[in-house]
Amino acid sequence: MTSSTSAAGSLEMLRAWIYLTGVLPLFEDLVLYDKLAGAAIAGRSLVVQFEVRHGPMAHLDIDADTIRYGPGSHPRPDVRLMFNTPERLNRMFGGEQVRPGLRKGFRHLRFLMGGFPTLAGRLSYYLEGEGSHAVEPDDEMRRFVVGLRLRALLGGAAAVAGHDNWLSDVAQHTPVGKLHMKVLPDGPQGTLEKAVYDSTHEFVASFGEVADHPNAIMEFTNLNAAWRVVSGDISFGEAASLGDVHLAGNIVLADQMNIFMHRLVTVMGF
Amino acid sequence: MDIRYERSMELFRRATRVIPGGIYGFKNPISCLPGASPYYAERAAGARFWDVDGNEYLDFLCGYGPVVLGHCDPDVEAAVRDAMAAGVCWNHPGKEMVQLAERFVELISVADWAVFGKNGVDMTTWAVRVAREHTGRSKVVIAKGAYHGALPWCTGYRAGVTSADRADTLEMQWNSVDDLERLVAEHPASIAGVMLTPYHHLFAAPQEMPAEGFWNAVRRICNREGIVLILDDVRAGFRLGLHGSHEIFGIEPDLVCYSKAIGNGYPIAAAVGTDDLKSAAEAIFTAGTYWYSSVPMAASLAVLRVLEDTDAIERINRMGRRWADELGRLGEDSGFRVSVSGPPGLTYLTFDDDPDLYLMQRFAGEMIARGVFLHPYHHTFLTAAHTDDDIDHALETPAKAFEATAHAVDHIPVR
Repeated sequence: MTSSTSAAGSLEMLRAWIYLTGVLPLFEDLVLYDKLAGAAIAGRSLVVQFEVRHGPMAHLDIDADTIRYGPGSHPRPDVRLMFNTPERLNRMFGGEQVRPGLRKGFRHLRFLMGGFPTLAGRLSYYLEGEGSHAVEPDDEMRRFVVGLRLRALLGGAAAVAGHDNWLSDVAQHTPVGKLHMKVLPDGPQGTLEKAVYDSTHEFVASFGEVADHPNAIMEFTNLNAAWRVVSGDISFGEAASLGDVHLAGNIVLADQMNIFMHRLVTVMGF
Repeated sequence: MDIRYERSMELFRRATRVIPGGIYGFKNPISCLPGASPYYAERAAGARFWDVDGNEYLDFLCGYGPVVLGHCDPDVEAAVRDAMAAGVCWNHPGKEMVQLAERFVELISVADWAVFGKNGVDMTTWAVRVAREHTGRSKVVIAKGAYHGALPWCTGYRAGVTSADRADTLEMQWNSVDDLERLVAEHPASIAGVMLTPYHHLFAAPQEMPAEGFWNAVRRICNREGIVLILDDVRAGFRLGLHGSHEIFGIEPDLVCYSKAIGNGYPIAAAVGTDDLKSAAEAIFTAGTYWYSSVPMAASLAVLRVLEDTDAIERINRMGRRWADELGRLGEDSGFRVSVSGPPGLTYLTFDDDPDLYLMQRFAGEMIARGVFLHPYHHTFLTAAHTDDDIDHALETPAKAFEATAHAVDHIPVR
C-alpha cells in the first residue's frame, strides 16, 4: 500500500464507516436472494441498531422476511449494539466472534449470536469468498453479485469520500455533481453524488434509481463486462479502454470518484 | 469497438498484461476518448500523424505541445543527426550546453543564466528549490487546478503521495489577488515562491486569461514579501513569442521554466533566472544521467534558430486565430452556444450549455473520426508545418461534426 491514513485508529474508524454506511445496506438485497441468509431472519421482527462510540450509527429493520436499512439511529430499536472501538465492529463484520456491548435487547441474544453471523458470513461469501469468483455463475447469480458489489462500491466510496482523512483534500476538490453507474441494458444501476448543503459538502450513494441529468456516466456494456470488473479480472480503466465500459460527461468528476473507489478496494480488500 | 482502431486495441490488450493500466499517465485512453480515438501512433510528419491502424490525422495536439515546427522538421532532424553521430551520452557536457545557455540569455529579457533538464517538471521542481535556497523559506504557492508536473509536491493525483509531500504546497484561486494576500497573511515569512503559468490553462475547462492588473499585483506582493516569482512557461513558452510569454503578458518573473516547444519533440527543458538568484541556483545539486546530452540541446539550438529566422510564430498565431474564429462561427451557425478560449494556437472549445463536456466529447470524436485530431479535454497546439490549406481542410470538418453532435443531443444528458 503506497498511501496511509494518519493513524491506524482512523483507518479502523474509516472501515467502520464503510461497514455501517456502505456494507450494511447490502443485507436488504442479500436476504431476498440468498436462501441461507433469508432463513436466518425467517419469522423475525426486530430493529437492530449498531453504534460505534464517537463514530457511525445505523440500523436494520428486520420484518416479514425482509430487511430495510436506515442510516443513523432508530426511534425505537429492539436491540442496541454498542461498539466501544471501531475495531470491534470491523472484526465482527470480518466474521470473528465479537461481543459488543448490548444496551438493549437481551431477549434477542440468540439471533445475535447465531443469525447475524450467518448474514455476515453469506455477505462475505459474495463479496470476498467463492461467490464473488464463481467460475460459471448463472445469469441470476451474476446479476445479483454485480448488483451487490456495485452497491458496495457506491456506498463504500461515499463513506471513503466523506470520512477518509487521507483523501479529504481530494474530496474537497471534487466537483459537485452526480456520477451514474449502470449495467446495460437494464441495470443494476446506482449513483454517487457530491452535493453541497449550507456550504458544506456531502457524498451520497443511491442504488436502483435512474439518475436525473447525471454529470458523468459509467455504463458497462453488458452483465459479462460488469462481472469481469467487479470480480477483479480487469480494472475500470482497462475495461473502458477496451470498450467494455462507456465513459461520458464530466471526466474530472468520474476520475475523482474513481479515486474513492480505488481507495475503498485498498482499504477493504473487496 | 471501432474497427478503425483494431490494432490499437490489440496492442492495448497485450499492454494490460505487462504494463500497469496498459498506458500510464495522461496518455491513458480514458484521458481522451476510449474506443473512439487511437491508442498507439506509428509515425508523424509535418502537421500529420498516422496511428498503428494506418489512419491519418491532421494533428491539433502535436505531442501535447513540443512539436512547434512540425513533426520531423528537416532543420532540427539534421542538427540531431549531426549531434548523434558524435555520440549520445558522454562523460562531460558538450559545447551545445554553453551555446544554448547563451541563446536563452540573449533571447529572454529576465535571463542572466540558464540550466537544462529533460521535462518541464525537472525545471519547476528545481525552481522551487532555488526559491527555497534563496529565501530560506519552505512554502510555494500555486494556482488551484494548475499543472506543474506529475511529482508529489505538485500533482493533483494523490495515489502514492503523502501529506508530507504536499505540506509546503499552498493553493490560491487563479486571478485572485485577495486569495494570494490571504495566504501571505496566513503564512508570514514562510512563502519562498509563487509559481504561476502566464494564463490559466486548465484540463477539460475553458482557459482563463489574467485579469487586468493581476500580474502587476502579484509582482508587487512578491516584492513586498521577499517572495520569488516563478513563471511556469513550459506549455506556452516560445509559441506566443520568441522572447517568452512574460513579454506578451507584461510579467516580470524572477525565474522562468521552459520545455515543450524548445525542443520540437526532443527531451529538453530549461530554467532561466536573474543574477540575484544565481548563487542559490549554484548551490542546488540537481542532475540526471541524461540531462547533459548534447543531442536535444542541438535540437533546441536548431528550433530557436528557425523560430528567429522565420515567421513561424507569427504564422502559428495567425492560423490559430483563424481556426478559433471560424470554429466559433461554425458552432454558432450550427445552433450551439460555444466559446473558444485561450491565446491563438492554444485554444479550447467549450459548449456553453454543457459544462460536463458531453457535447465536446461527441464533437471531438466526430472530428477524430473525420481525420482531424482534436482532444476533447486539452487545448490545441498548432505548428509552423500547418498550412493555410490544412486549416481550410480542417475547417471543412466542424460543420459535419457539429451536425452529428446536434443529432446526438437527445441522447446526452445536457442541461
